[in-house]
Amino acid sequence: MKTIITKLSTGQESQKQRKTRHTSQTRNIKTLDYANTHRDIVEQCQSGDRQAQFELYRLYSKAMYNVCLRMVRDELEAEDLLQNSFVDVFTKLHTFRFQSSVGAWIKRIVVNNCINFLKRRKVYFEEMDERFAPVEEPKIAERKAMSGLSVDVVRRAMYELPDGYRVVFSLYMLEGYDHKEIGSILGVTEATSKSQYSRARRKLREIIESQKQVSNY
Amino acid sequence: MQRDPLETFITSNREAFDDGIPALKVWADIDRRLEAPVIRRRRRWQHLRIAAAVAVLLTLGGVAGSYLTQSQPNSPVAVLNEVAPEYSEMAMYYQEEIDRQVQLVSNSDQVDPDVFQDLEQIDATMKELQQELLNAPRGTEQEIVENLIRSYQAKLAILQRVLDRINQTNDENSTINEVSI
Repeated sequence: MKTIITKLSTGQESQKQRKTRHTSQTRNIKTLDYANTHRDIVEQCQSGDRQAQFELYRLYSKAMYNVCLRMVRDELEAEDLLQNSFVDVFTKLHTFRFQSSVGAWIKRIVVNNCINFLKRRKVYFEEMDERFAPVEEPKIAERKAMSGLSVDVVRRAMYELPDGYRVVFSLYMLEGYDHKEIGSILGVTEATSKSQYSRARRKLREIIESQKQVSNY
Repeated sequence: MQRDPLETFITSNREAFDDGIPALKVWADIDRRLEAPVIRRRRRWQHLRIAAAVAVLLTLGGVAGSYLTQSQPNSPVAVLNEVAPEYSEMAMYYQEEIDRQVQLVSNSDQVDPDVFQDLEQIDATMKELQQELLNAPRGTEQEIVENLIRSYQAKLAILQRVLDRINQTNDENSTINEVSI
């Protein structure tokens, strides 16, 4: 289910889209809409129109920059990745056949570039399984601790996650990929992606909790 | 299963997680990098175009060269007859006038020797023009013919001025002589 929605997403799935994504009828309509989103611009880009290329960049650059930022945690590195990714986008756009939304297609290029960047920095996505205890469901006290969250707190906590955890957590929770897709992106099994995500979520809660305790002092 | 409050929070505030804004220079760099291969491609095409143009020109040049060699006799007079049939008649008229005036001027002892040098210089220029006519690209012959005619006119104008001066001097001398008588 999530696979389809992700592929159809225009780079960023809205809350409304998430709520309706379980309805197959809606999904079919979205297939049509999303696949044709910005079709004119894409076709102009494919013919090398620089103005259209800028328009496509303007539409997706902010969302894609934030994808990069979450992955690499460094503004300059994120900008470099954004730049490289859009050069790739415009270079490969002639291969795009409107089978998905152009936003999803662009996002996949961006994510792949980010993953390759992290792999060059020796970030391994499989080895984390062995390093942490089995995942447990959050206790009631922990659930309560999650009240009064802010975007800034969650983001700072995410930045403190180990690279492997942060990537899996971001791909699942913020970029809208399912575990099968994440497994494909990272070159791991679907089960590994699920367990990594669970551990990442737990670790994130711990970080947030510790941040709260520090701030209470 | 009850949904994790952290997940619920992120889902509810998804938009707010995308508040980072990339620097403006990112597009400038993309634009520059996209331009580079285009230029290379264009340059490659330009090279091909230039090569093609050179090949076409060489072929045309060869064809035109052989055509001109065959069709045009290798002498200025023959070329003039072909490109400006009326030229030879005009040239003959001018040359007769020049010869006549040169004869008159030569009989006078009052002529500045520089005049003949000027006339020789015009003759040299006319020879160059006639030689140029043999190698002139098609369509430019008429201009050379006009220059040749102007050269004849220039020679006549010089000679006419000299003769006028001689005549004027002669008139003045006769007047003086008359007065003195």
